[in-house]
Amino acid sequence: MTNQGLQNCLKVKEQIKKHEFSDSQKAYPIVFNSLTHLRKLYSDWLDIHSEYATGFSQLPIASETEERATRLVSNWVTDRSTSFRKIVYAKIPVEVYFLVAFYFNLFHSNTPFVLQENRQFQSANLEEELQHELKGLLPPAGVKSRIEPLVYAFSKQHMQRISYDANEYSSPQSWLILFHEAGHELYDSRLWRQHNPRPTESWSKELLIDMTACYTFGPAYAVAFSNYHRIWPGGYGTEHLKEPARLYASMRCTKSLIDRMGAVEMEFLDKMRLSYRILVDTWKTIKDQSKDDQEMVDSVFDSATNGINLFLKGEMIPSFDEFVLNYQKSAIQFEPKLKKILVMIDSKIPVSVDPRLLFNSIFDKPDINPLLVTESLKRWLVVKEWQAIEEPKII
Amino acid sequence: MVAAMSLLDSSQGSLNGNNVIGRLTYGLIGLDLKSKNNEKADEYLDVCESVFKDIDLENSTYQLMTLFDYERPAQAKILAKRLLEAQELVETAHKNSTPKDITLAKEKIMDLLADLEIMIANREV
Repeated sequence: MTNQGLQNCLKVKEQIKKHEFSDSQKAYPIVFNSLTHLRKLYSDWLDIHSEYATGFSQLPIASETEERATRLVSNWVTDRSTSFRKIVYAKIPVEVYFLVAFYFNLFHSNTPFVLQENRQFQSANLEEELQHELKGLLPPAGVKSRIEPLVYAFSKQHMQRISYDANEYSSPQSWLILFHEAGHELYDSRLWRQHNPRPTESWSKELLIDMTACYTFGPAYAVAFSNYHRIWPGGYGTEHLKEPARLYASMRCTKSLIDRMGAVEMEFLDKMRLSYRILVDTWKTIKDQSKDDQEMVDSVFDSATNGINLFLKGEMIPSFDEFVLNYQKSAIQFEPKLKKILVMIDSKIPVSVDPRLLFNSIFDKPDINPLLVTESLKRWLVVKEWQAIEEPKII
Repeated sequence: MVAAMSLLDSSQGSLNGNNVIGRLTYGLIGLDLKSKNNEKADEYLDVCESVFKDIDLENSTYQLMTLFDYERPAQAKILAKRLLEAQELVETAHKNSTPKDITLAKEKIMDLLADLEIMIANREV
């Protein structure tokens, strides 16, 4: 009997191994390295499937049951192949990789990740996905196989798969929601240690991740979340936890940031105040039905803020207000003044500037051309690389 | 937002997508081996029965809904009921080991697997 699952594995593995990345994916080391790592992991994953298929084919079972078992493997393989395509053919610009890497780097993290087109914003570890897929499914009994060592080797790898809502691929403001997904990884690895006792309810984790993003990246994150909420109110179903609470907490974070930013250039401060007004307008529409959420956030907000501030100080991560004040004070070569950034963006000129300043300058421009933003990110990356290169010493 | 949902999925997640198919397939293999008095049958049947452990109609309906992106609760509920019926048949076949019980449970699982596969395929479109 033809072992359909096994053949399918080999075919798909070959396709994945031979897959050529696009020119733009090859142009940037961060993107190319992530995708190459992913290709290797998916190939290893298919080896595990292939071992299952071989094992099933050696069991003393009826042919229809064997066919059923190999179809199970084919299902796995199809899922893997679809998942790979959704990553390598994702429509989101490759420059968004810089943005997510920037956010990880803010927290001194170099977590390997890939961006995947999907129905919704989500994140998962590949190693956990494999465990989930094979949970409880013992290697075919009584058959020699390499499944256990292969699964063990895979579990030692790490790769974060961050999905985005396919509808939002060309909306720069929505790219910031990816920080929430990256935040899950940061929270699980480090942030939660600031909270004693560790929050047990899943909504409180969501809240802390949002607040951390807002305090470090600025109001643009809160506005991105609020705009997304306006497009998809209540999320995709009733299971979506505490969205009003998260909106309200983000709004309070923004207010607290603005209060701490008294000494920045007036034009920039006005911009920050505008972000708060946008958030208040959104909150007004759900305020009456969300009184419980408001009370709940009010009761934990101060302690959560203290916890986050302690974490940021301990890790030497500047909060957004500290960053803006430092930026304003220090005359950094190649970098424009805050006011000039706003003028350049309004004039549709790409500006090489830290993503925190870029995105906090464009949050009120829903129709902004994504090319202007990606070009700005590209220039910022090039300048940063250029600055990092030491001047050659002339002897 | 939806991270909240994914969190929910992963925390409850022993009954999701391919894993349901995997466990039911193990049930089928177990029943097949049982009919041949093969000593390995119990290992496979135990894996299959662990799908049903600690679940009731409500939470299995919810978890099956994740396969439809939370959009078709009625269909998920019907499938959840069939899962619970399969549970009883597998347990009976495991206990009694009579050819009639084994055949009944096998047929039930085959039907369920075919429908679940269609559901997964539609989700991917």
